Formats: sequence, structure tokens, C-alpha cells
Amino acid sequence: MAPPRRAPPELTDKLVERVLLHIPPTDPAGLLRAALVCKRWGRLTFSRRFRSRYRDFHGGDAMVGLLCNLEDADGKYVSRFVPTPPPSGPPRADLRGWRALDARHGRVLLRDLVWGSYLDVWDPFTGERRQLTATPPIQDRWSWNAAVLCAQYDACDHLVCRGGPFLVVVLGANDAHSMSVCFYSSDTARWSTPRRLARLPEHGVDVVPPVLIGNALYFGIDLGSFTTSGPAAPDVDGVVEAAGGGELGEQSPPPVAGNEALEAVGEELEAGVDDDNLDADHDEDAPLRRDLAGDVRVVSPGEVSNRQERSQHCERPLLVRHQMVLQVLEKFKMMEEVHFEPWERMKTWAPGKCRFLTADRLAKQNLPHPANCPLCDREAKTVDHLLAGCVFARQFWVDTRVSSSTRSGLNLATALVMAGEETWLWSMAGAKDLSLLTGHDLVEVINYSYLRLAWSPRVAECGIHWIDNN
Amino acid sequence: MAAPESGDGNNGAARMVTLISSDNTRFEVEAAAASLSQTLQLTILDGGGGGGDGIPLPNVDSATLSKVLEYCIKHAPAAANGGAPNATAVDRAELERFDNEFVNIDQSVLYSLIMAAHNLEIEGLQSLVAKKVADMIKGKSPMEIRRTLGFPDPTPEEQAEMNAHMLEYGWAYE
Repeated sequence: MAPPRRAPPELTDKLVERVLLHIPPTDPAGLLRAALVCKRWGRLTFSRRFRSRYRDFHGGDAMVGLLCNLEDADGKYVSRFVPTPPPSGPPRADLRGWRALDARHGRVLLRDLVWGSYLDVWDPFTGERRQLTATPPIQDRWSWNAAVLCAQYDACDHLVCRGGPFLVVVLGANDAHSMSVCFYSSDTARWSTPRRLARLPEHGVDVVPPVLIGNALYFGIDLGSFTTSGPAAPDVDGVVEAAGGGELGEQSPPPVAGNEALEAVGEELEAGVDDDNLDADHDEDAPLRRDLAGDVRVVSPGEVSNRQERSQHCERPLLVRHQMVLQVLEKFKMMEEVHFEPWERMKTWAPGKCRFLTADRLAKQNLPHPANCPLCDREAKTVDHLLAGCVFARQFWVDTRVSSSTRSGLNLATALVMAGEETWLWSMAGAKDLSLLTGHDLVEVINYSYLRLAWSPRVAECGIHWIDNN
Repeated sequence: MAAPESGDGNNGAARMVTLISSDNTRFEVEAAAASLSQTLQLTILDGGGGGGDGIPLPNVDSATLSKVLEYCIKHAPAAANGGAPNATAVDRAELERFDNEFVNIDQSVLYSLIMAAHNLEIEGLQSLVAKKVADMIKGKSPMEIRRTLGFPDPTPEEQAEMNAHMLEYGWAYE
């Protein structure tokens, strides 16, 4: 078709914006190309107003940055927040002596590495830190992990809930034999009674960022089992819908912060189990065998203490699951066996995308550029440094592969997706029911998320540079 | 033909309104369909456009207006339900099919539609055509986008600037 030679349509700014809105967020290069069409389109694309509209239009699924647990030059632990350009987001921050355990719904869960198990919930936008009033009531100080989520995890769009009530869920080794789950609500400012829910796996709870899918929160356990040929519990397959059985309440250790609400939680817990998913058989060893992959329904304290408002709260109780990661890691192990090398794979996967707009290339064009690598601040920003030399990059690659000799594989970086990972997990999976996802799907999801988290900011950055220069 | 009823376009017998295009062609449509246009809605609520009066639309020619009304008539029943969840999957699929075919048109018509949808403030149609244009520029280079949308050719200066950026941002063009 010959290019039309008629007079250009008088597309107003509003109409151009409307068109640009329909470029999907998964195609940042498309947005960049549109921005290069002419100066007016460029100005529109990078205007604050359009970015805000674009975010709203696409469900607020914007990523604002990365959290990375690093060691600084002195060997001190630091949790570093690197914002996604443009700089209208929260500022970059170094949190010395803290480790980011989890980030979700605009909140970051930090653990004090100097003084022990203190937990803070941090809002990178305002800098506000909310300290939890007590350390989690978990006996074993080493083998535990925690997740933070909006108290309305299921009933909120998480666009503006950042400063609002939150839940912290801890899964940890309770004694030498069992794992427990307990949760903290910012409303009551206390920890619930730990609920024993499973036999302690051989290698304990791993500090992998938990994943929230729908109303189910997944923790990684027993990652060390991959030194052998398969999962520690080969009789476990899929997500088992049963919980540990009726003994949960009795075997809990004494409550640390018991109150009437927590008894109600116990009722809910068992009611939930009876309601819809426990099979008829209650034989003696079934709970032990099953509970390695069990669920526990945890009802938020706010929900219980405020029964009349329950209908306004999340419709589905929160499920805590601790098995999915096994499937994922099994896949990673397979990739390792074929000498999976992420950087190599990335070059093959998207050769064109490997031309990043690094400082040396910006300098050649006399475009504004940072002197040093924006991630580590130390060395010049060249593509080799960015992808291989930078301490951040090295950790990133470690994150994407799990060495059979390194138990801590995935735990180095925590992704911060402000509107909740659920949105893009859904779109990635294209499935109506995420519980149907297979281990393979999840590997895809995780690969995708890491690539996106690490590299899509570069696209936004170069767009901004172009505009600044013109 | 139903006589205009006092201010109430939503009962029993469909109330009709007359729209007059820039080239003086008269279109008679149900008020419900014409009301998809935010611009027309108020006039129609006030009882305008009925009988012999007609609402003049000096910015929309007859070819475009008939196309716009085709869209409105198709979408009016769904809009009248006000997003009520009684629309079946079949209905929605049918609307989707209609939309896809509807925008499968010559570019000049598409541009007229964009302007008309904008002037008449028909939300659904605006989104539909914007999405169509976004699809048209998908995967294209800035230069191709300019050509596709009928922008004038860049001046030599602009061209040099674009070439420089194209070299620099090569990855965005692959």
C-alpha cells in the first residue's frame, strides 16, 4: 500500500495520548519509537501527566524499582533500593544493616541484621518506617521467612493503600520438629499465636521472597533438597488442598500475644479446613505426610475482631502454602544441568535488546549520562559492567540460577512491584485460575519477572535522556 | 414515527431524534443510540432533536456520521444496560466481532472517525479507534509511523536528528 499523501489529520494532544495509551506496557520499545516520531509525541510520551494516565490505564502495574541485598565495600550488609527512572519515583536509598525480606503492595519488609529479628515495614515513597512492636514468636531464630501484604490483600487495588493497614506473615521453624505460621496485624499491633502446620523440612525455611498468587501466599522451603535427585518429599505432588488436620490448635506453643481474637482465628482455621478441602480420612499419619505440602487458612485478625464488617473485607481467607518453590527449583536444576547461562541465553533470546544505553554510548552522543553505574556507584557504566561486572548484575545472575551447592539461590533480590505481582502474573499466565499453573509456567513467570525487573528501567531511562537533550 | 416525548427517552416506544450532517443529510436514529455521544446527550435530554428540528452537526459529514451511527446503534443496547452483568458472553463476542470489522476501514475514514468520535465525545468509539491506530503503528519505526499517519516528510534537519537517534536506539527498532 502506498503511503497516504493526504493532509495530516489534526490529532490533538488528547488524541495522540489516547493512541499512545494503547501501546501495551509489555512493549516499552513501542512506546519509545512513538516518542521518537516527532518532538510533540516525545514531549507527550514523557510528560508526567501521560505517565500517570498510562499507569492508571494499565491497572497501575508500574514497577518503581529494585531492592537488592548487598554487601557494601566494607563488607557490611546493606539493602539497596534502586528506583526505576524517571526520577519522579521514590528516591534511591541504602538501608545499612537491614535486609529486605519481601516487598509487596508498596510496602517493604525489612529485617534488622544487627540486633536480631526486628522487623520494619518501610514505605519507599514517603520514607516512613513502621516498626513492628515485637519480634515474631518463632523459636528458631534462623530458619524463618516473612511476607508483608496489604491487610485488604484480596479486596484492594493496592494503588493507594501504601500507608494503610498491613499484615506480616511469618513461617518459621518452631522447634526441632515443626514449622509454624503466625501473623502480625498493624491494626492490633500484635502477633497471633503461632499455628503449627507442618513437620519441619530437612533444610528448613528458606529466605526466598514469598509469592502471593490470588489469596495464596507461597513460601520456599527445603531448597537444599536439590542436592539429591528430587524434592525431599517425593510423595508430594501438586498443591495439596488439605491442611495439617485437627491437631493444629492443641499443639501450638503458648501464645505470645494471645487474646480472644486469636481463639476465633483457631475456629476459623478449623472451620476453613472442614468447609471445603479436607478429605474424609483422618487417619493418624495422614496429617504428617500431607502437611509438608499443606495449606493453612489464616484469617486476618482485623477480620475476626470486626465480624460485622467481614463482608467488606477480603472474601477469601489467606492461604499459606509452602511447596510451590520446590517445583520451580526443580526446573532450575534442570536448566543448570544443560549449563544454563543466563547472560548467554539473554543474548540469544533478544540480541537486539542487549544494546543497552550505557553511559559510554551516551557520552559519544553528547547526551546527559550518569558518570558511574547507577546500581553500584563504583565503576563506569559500560555494557560489560552493567551485565557482568556490576555487583548487582552478578547477584542478579546468581538469583536466576540455583546452584545445587548454594541453598540461598533465589534469595538475594526482592522484586518490588508496586501494584502487586498478581496483576502481571495473571497476564503472564493467561490462565483464569492461577492454582492451575505448572512448575514450568512459574519458571517462565519468574524468568520474565527478573528480566523485566532488571532491564526494563533502561528503556525508560534512555527515553528520558532523549527528551532532556531536546 | 414516534412523536418526541417530553424529556424521557427511556420508555416503551423508542424516541427518535434527527441529526443533520455538515452536508445537510438528515439521519433519524433512536435517542438512546444518539445519547452515546456525551455532546448530544444533554440536548436530547432537553427534548432537542425531535420532530422537524434536528440537531445540526457542522463538523461531521454524512459518510462519517452514518458510520458513527452504525456504531452507536450496535452499542446502544449494551450501553442502556449500564454495564449490567446480564450481557452474555455471546453478546460480548458479537460486539467484539463487530468492533473488529468496524475499524477495518480505509485510513481516511478512520481519521474522520477519530475526529468525529472526539467531537461527539463517544467514549467507546474513541477507545476503539485509538486502539486501531495503536495497532497500525505497532512494530513500526518512527519514520514508518510518520508515513502511516500521513505526517509531512521531516525537514533535512529533523531527518538527520532522527537518523542519529535511530543509530543510537537501534535496539528499539528491531
